[in-house]
Amino acid sequence: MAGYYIIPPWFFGYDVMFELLFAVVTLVVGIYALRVYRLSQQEQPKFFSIAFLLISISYFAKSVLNFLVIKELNGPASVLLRLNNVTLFNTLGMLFHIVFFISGLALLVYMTFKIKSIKVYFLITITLFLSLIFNEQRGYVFYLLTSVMLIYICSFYIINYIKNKQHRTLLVLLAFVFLLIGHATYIFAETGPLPYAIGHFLEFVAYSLILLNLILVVRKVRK
Amino acid sequence: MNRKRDRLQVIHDILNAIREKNGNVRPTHILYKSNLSHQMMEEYLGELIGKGFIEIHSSKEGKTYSLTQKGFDYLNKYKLITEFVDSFGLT
Repeated sequence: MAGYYIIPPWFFGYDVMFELLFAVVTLVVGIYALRVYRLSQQEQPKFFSIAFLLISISYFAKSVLNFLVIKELNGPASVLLRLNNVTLFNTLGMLFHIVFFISGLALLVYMTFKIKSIKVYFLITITLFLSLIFNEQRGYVFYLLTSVMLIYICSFYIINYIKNKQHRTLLVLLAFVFLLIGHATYIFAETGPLPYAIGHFLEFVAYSLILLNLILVVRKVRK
Repeated sequence: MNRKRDRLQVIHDILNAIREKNGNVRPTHILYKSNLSHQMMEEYLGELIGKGFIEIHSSKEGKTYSLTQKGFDYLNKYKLITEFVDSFGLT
């Protein structure tokens, strides 16, 4: 079992839209970072780009498979068949999300190390995957691990902000703080319906701030 | 100004020094314009050749450098690069 969560009835379907939105925002940021990498040939924009593209795939997969879950629940098939398919889609959705999100987030963590040894990245990622493979409560552990990684990324942006005192760096810092609180909230998504919805709202704020930051960059460049 | 910005700025200065002379620039001119030590300049030039920003030409008079299309693109989109790098803390 990849993990499960309790969705509030009023939120059913909205989660799919939120995840699709997160996928689009991270895709746009990833593509823009790729453009910056192609122009500058610097390592940091390359890692940033790949990380955001991986995170985008993770949300796309989750969104599509959650959509299939909804479709299956309203489908004409027998209850048993529908239940089987719902379990399959939910498990697949969570697994794809875990694999791509962990790969992306670990790359962001690696990027903050500022070292030139891709072996370190693979070591981090493999260790994370192993800790998930050999754990029964994958959903719970996944959000616990991402929260720890996000704490690290936030500390990197705090130091960055202290050094540079730029408003836009503060925006990215706030985005990652919201993402951290969102992921920390998901840890409790198996215990009740609210954390799942709150987690999505917090992620929505986080990705809105990242998108806002990108819009400000584009506007300033065009001036 | 952070370290990455300095690095991007140095690359900009080297490429700009070559562009200002309409290509085929001698290393001494780059050394003067970039304000780097000889060793640092050689490292940067090696990196810029490797990344396809500049080309080296050898003749009887010595080595000269010229910009590639990638080098021109870097200079033209320099503001975009630095704004993005600074905004997302890619230092």
